[in-house]
Amino acid sequence: MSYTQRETPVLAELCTFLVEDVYGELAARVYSVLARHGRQTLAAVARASYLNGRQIKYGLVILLQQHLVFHSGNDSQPTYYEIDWLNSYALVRLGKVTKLVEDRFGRKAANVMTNLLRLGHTRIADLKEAYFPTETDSDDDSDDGTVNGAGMKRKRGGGNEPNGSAKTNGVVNGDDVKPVVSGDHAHSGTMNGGPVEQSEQEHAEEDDGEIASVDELYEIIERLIQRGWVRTMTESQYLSPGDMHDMLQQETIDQDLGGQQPTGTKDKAVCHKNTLERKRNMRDKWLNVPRFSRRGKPDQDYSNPTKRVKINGANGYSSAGAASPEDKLVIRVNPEKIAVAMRTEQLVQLVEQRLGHVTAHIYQTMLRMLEANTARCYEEYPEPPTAGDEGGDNQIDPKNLVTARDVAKKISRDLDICEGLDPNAIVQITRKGHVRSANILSQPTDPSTLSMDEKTRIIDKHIQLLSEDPTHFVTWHSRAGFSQWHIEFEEIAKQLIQTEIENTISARKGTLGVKLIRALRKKGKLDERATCNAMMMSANDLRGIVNDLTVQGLVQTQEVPKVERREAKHSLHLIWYDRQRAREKLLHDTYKGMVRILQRIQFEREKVQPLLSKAERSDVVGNEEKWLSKGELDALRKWKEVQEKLSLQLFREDDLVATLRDFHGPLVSV
Amino acid sequence: MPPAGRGGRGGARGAFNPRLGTVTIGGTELNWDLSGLEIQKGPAERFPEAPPPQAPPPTADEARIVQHFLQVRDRIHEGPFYTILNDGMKNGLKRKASEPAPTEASLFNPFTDNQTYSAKYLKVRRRLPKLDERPYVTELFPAELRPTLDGTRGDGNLSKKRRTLGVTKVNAVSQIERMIKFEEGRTNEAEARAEDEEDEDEDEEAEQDDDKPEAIDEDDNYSAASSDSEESDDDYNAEQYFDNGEDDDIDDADPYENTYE
Repeated sequence: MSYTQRETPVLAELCTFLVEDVYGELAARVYSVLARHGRQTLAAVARASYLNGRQIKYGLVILLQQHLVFHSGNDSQPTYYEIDWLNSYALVRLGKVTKLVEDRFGRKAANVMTNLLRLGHTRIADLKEAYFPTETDSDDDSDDGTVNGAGMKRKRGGGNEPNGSAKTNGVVNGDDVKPVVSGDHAHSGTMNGGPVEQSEQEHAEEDDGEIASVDELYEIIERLIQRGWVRTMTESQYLSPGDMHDMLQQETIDQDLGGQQPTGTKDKAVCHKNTLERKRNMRDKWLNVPRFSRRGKPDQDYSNPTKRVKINGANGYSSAGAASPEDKLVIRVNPEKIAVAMRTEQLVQLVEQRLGHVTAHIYQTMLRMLEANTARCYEEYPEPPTAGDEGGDNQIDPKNLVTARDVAKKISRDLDICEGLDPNAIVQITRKGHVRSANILSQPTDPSTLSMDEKTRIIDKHIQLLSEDPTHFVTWHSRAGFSQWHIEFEEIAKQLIQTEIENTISARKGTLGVKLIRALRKKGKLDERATCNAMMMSANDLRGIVNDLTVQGLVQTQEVPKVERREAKHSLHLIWYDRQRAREKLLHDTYKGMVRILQRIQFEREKVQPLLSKAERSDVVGNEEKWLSKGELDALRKWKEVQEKLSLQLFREDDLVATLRDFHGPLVSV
Repeated sequence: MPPAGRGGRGGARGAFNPRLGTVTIGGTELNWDLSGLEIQKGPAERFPEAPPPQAPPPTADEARIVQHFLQVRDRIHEGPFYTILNDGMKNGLKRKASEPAPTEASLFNPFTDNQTYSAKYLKVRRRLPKLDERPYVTELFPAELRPTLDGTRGDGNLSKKRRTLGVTKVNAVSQIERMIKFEEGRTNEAEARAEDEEDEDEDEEAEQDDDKPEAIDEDDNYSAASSDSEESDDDYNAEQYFDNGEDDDIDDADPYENTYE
C-alpha cells in the first residue's frame, strides 16, 4: 500500500486543521502536503500537490513567516521544507498567550504580544513604524478597533453616535463585552478574585488605553524579552531539529574529534555529549537579552516617575544615544515560555481546589517569582549521565529558591492571609487572645496591621501546608530568609500525568480500573493468578476490566512461552502498566478529540455560512439594524454560543495536552 | 400484598430470612413488611431520557481565553494572509487519476450562488495572499522565495507601495461580538425610544434614511412595541405559511393516565 493511501496521522490532521482555521485555505493546503510527505523541496511539493507553483510559493511564505515550517537554509541547495508541528500546534494557544501576558504585564504588553503573534517575526523598527507612523497619512493600515475595517466607513460618518468612530467603538465594546478583562486586573488575575500586586502589573495598567510613546513600546518589548516571553530571531531557528542535529554534530566532529568520524564507544559518547552541549548553547543564545539603548526623547511621561527610577536602576540603560541599534533586531514570541506559564496556572488551580484560595494565591506569587528565571519546563537536551558522578551535582541554583520573606514583601495588604489556616497557628504567631471552642479567635486579628515579621511567619504556615500536601507542592531547602523553599517541578509533573491517566480510567472503567492500574504499578508484571491475589478479586470479575484496558492501550500485555512449542496453555500471560505508553496513548486520544472538535466547529459554521456572509456584506456591516432580521440575529447569537462552547472545550483539551506533553520529558523508568 | 411480592421477580433467588425478618427480592434485601413500597406497574419508558454529560460552564479565566482567541483569530482573518480558495478540494495533495477535477458547475450552489443585486456588496475573499503589504526580514527566507516576497508581479514590475505592518492598537473585538453588540444597542435604543417620545438622536437617523418619510419612524416604534405581531418578519417563509398545528389544543396529559395502577 502506498504511503499516500493510508490514513493521515492524527497530529498532522490536527495541525492542518489549526492552520486552516487560523491562516486560511491556501496555507493549509501547502501545509497538508508537507505534513503528509515530510521533508520536501519546493519542486517535490509541486509534484505532490495540485496547486500551481505560484500558489505554493505564496503558501510557503505565509507558513515561514508564521514559523509553521522549517527550512534548511541557503547553504546547501536545494532548500528543504519541513513542518514545525510544535509551533503549528501552538496555534491553539493564541488566546492563552495573550491572556497569560495580560495577567502578568498588563493590557499594553498583551497588545504587543497579540501583534507579534499575528505578524510572526518582525524587526523592531518595523513594529515601531506600524505603531507610530512617521508621516501622518489619514488612512494608515492599523485600524483601531473594529475587526474588518468596517469602522473606516463609519469614521467618516457621524461621530456623535455611541458607536461612531472606530476608535471609541473598539474601546467601548471591549469594555462591555468582557467585563472581566476591562475590570480591575487586580481581581481577575487569580481565579478567586484575590488581589494581585505583582510589581510589573502596577504600572502597566494604569490606563487601559493605547501605547502612548515609542519609549513605552520599547520598554514593553524589553521587559518581555527579559522575562523570556519574546526572543530574538536568528536564521538558525529555522533549522528543523534534524538539520540542527546534523550541523552541530558535524561541528563537533570537526572541532573536537579532528574531523574523524567517531568509531569507538568512547568517541561516540564524547561526540554525543558535545553535540548536546552545542545544542544547549545555541538555544540559550537565542534567549540572550540584547542591550537596549536608552532612547533620549524629551517627551518622557513624567506622570510616573517612580517607574522610571526603578527601571533605570534595574536595567542600567546605556547613556542616551540618538541611534537605536536595537531597531535592527528581529523578534518573535518564545514558544517555550508559554508552557511554563501554563504550568503555573494549572498548579495554582490545583492548589486552590485542595488548599483554598489564599494558599493558592501565595503559591501563585511564588511560582511567578520563579517564572522569570525558568526558561522552559524541562531540559530537552539533558547532559547524558556519566558513570563517575552520581548525585554529584545536587546543588540547586539559588535562582530557583523562594523565601517566605520574599513572598511576604509581594503580598498585598488587602489579602486576608489568615484565612485558610488553623486558628491555633495564628494565635501562636500573634500571641493575642486564644481560640474559643468553636474555632473562633477570641480577639480578631486585622491582617492589614500585622508586622512584616508576623506576616512572614503566617505565610510560612501557608507554605508548610503546601509542602505537607501529598503532592508536595514545595520542598523545604534551608532556613535562610526565614525559610527557603524550592519546587520540584519534575516530581509534580509526574504526579500530574499519573493523575490525568487515573482520571481517564476512572471515567471509562470506574474505580476498579484505577485499582488495577495502581496494583500493577506497585507490583510490576503479573500473570492472572497474581493479579487476582493483588486485587483480591475473582478472575471472572477481573477479565473484563483487563481486556478493556488492554484494548484501549492503557495496560500492556506480554506472552512468555514456557515450552518450546509456543502453546497458549503453556505460556505465561503477563500484564503490566507502563506510564509512558499510557501517557502517549492518552495524548493521542486527546489529539483525536481536538480534531473532532475542530471538525464540529467547521460543520457548525457551514450551517450558518449564508447568514455569516450576509452579515459581512459591506452594506450590512454597520447597518445591522436595517438589514438583519430578528431571527437572523438570534441565529448569529446562537452560532456565537456554539463557537464559544466548542472553543472552550478545545482549550480545555489543550490544557490536558500541556500536562501530558509539555511539563515533563519522556519518562524512562516506570 | 406481601405474599404476592415474594413470588414474581424474586423467583428462585427470592429468599426469606426469618431470623432477620427480611426478604431478598431480585438481589436486594427488603423488610418483610412491604406496605410502604411502590412498584412501577406501567410499562417501562422505551427511550428514557438520558441527557449527555455537559461540560461545566467556563470560569472567568477561561471565558477570557476564548475571547482573546477569537479576537486574535479574527484579526488574522482580516489580515493579508488569510485566503479562501473554494475549489472543492479537501487538502493540497494531487487528485487521484480517477477523480476528475471539480468543475465550475459542480461547485455552483443553485441556492446561494445565484448572483443577485446585493452580491456586489459581498465581502471579497482573497484567493492569493497579499504579500506586498508588509515588510519582511528577507534574509531569513530561502533564496528561492525572495522574489516572491518582493511582490514581483507576472510582468516583473516591482510594486512601489509603502509597506507597513498592520497592528492593532487597542484590544480588538471579535467580529461576531461586534455584530451582536450592534443589534443589542439597537434594541435598547428602540425600547428607550418607545418609552419616551422625543427623539434626541434624530440627526443621526436623518442622516441614514433621508429618503424615508416620517411615517416609517412611527411604524418602527410600533413594531418594536409588539414584535411578535403578524407582520414581524417571516412573511416570505413558505414553511411558516400555515401554522403547523403547534398551537392546537391537544391535551398534554399523562400518557399513562389510563394504565392500570
